[in-house]
Amino acid sequence: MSTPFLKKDKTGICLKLHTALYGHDAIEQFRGAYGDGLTFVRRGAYWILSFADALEEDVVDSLDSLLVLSRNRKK
Amino acid sequence: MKKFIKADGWVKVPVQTKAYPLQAIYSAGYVFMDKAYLYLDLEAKDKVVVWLKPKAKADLDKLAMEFCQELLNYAHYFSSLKVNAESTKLLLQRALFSAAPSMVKEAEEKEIQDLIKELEQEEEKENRKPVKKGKK
Repeated sequence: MSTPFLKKDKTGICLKLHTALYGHDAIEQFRGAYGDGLTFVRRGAYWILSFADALEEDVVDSLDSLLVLSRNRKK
Repeated sequence: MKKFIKADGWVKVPVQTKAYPLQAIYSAGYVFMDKAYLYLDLEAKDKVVVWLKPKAKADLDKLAMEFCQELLNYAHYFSSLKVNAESTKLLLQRALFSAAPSMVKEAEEKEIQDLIKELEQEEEKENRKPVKKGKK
């Protein structure tokens, strides 16, 4: 994995998102929009998103949508 | 010039949230979405790290410095917004009232009604108080 904050395990490419920064609602919205092939696990203050069968570039691409959803969330 | 940490085409910008509010980080990030991918993480209680990767070929240090500039720009914008909130409110009220003078009368009437209500409530409260028996 060349991206410093991404890890790969048996479930796919894992992206760690801090709930305080991205917001629970934004992550839930992203889950709804992405559909199948994405699993969510809550670990303390983080949500671990596992992208099964996805390319690293696709995961990096999804950061744009996540940032927009987080910025527009209700505080 | 400050050197930023770099790894595999990404550059890491540490941000103190005491100096730059989260709202400024989101806004600066939103502006940068055209030219870079962004990832946010919390490194410590008051320290957010922003990872940036240019979407087209670009100098990472320059990109990080530009992000810092945008961050400062938004931090200033939000702090000014806070400072000027009361003046902005007053100006808007004035503008609205001058556009529709009937609103002034309505506002005054409402204020009078509120004052009357308040006085009535106080009076009611006074009447409810038990009368103390005086010493004989």
